[in-house]
Amino acid sequence: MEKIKEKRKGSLLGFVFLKAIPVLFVLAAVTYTVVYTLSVRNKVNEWQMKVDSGKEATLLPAEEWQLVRDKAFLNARLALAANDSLGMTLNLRDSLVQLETKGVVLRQVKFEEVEIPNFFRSFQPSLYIKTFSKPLKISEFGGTIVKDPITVIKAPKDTIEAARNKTEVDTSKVEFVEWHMLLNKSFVISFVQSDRDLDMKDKSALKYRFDRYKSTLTGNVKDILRFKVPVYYPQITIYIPKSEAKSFYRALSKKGEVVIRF
Amino acid sequence: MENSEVNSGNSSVSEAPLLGLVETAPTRKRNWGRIMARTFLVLIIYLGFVPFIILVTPVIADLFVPVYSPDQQVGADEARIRTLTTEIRSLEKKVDKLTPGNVYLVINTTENHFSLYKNRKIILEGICSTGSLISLEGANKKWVFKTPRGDHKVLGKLTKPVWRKPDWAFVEEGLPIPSATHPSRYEKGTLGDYALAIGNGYLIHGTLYQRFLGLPVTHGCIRMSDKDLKMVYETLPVGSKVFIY
Repeated sequence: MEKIKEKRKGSLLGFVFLKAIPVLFVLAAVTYTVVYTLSVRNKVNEWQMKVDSGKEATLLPAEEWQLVRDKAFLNARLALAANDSLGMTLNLRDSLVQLETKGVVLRQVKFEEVEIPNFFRSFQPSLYIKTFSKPLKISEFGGTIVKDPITVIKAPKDTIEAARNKTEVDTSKVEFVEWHMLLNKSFVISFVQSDRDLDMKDKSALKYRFDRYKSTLTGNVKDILRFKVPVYYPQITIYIPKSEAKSFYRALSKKGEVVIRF
Repeated sequence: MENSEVNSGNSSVSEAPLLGLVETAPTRKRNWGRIMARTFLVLIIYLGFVPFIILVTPVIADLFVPVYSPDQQVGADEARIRTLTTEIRSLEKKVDKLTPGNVYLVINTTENHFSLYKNRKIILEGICSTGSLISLEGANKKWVFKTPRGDHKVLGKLTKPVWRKPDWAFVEEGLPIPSATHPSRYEKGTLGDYALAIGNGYLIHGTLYQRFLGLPVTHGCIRMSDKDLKMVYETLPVGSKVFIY
């Protein structure tokens, strides 16, 4: 009898862990993918509706489409120059990222690798002009390194304590640089260092990625459980050398603006 | 006899369970290949669930986004193209005018690096030292040693500058703060041969501590090597732009 009971218990556990849970996981993954896809499409439609109210797309000849985007870019750069803060120009056509202030290019970096979701390629001319003819405001920053690494030091009581407290700059620190900014509360631009890949030693970078995935996942799952379509934040990821990624992150002010050209 | 033997044989088979032979029931041949495949699949589902929804789902969703592509069939409207081209040229001129045509200096405080421009080309670049990003608290005051970012102008130029030590220089050394005109406040040679003032007490100057060049060690000023400082001093006239980021 005991053996029969054990056998039954074993087969029940087998059923739960080898059949029921895997099936649930597969169902959850399929549901999540379907809802996520709907969310992306919703966002595309929602944005297009803002300018066209359901009108049919205007098809421009290729040459004109190119000029329209050039004009939008230049208009946005002029608007950026009117701002006192340091701003960023992202020219995805020529693979250039620039730091600018009052129209003067302070630093220019050519990047070789970029990931652009199709969301940005779905913009029709009217929506493109409306969105990219002016700078986009930075609404959030986050990264693996501290943006303003201020160290607080208490004044020494006497010269002996001052001599004892003298510290040298630590240049041995190894850090993986990755950061992101949310623009107009709608798009995310992420910069990742291109010199090397992330590895297990980069604890702060791993934590940063984990936190970002966690907040996206929990937000999406919460929305799905409330029968709402999750909010989608399209993200452009740009790979640039570590020193540049770090300089750009530290230089951009919280009130900074960004101009994008596709 | 034959019948009875057959009967007895039959009865022994049917009675076997009663004789406690249950445990020796014929074993089913296990299909190890199938079991392994199923276990592997279950493992993939368990381990791949989170990576799938984080990495694969966005890629799948992106495939369903309708991409806008320009009309390759329709020829461009000449008049519209001409208007757009003229507008773009005019905008390009406006953007171009924003960059100083003469000389200016750009300083990167994160990398402690500078670039000197003339006619929009770099004529000199090298390492410098900028603010240490230390916040010193004492004597009921607080100082943050940070190089101010943004655009500045060269407001004045000095040769053989004398450093008038501010209060923080004494607080930092653990010394009492002397009066404003006390001789201990004045130090010769510390700032090098030249200095360029960029406002609010911030200077571009030389240093006695050449080994710290390239590191963030200053109290907000910009330190350069003697050779670079001489070139910067000679190239930048008063009124030139200094961009710090």
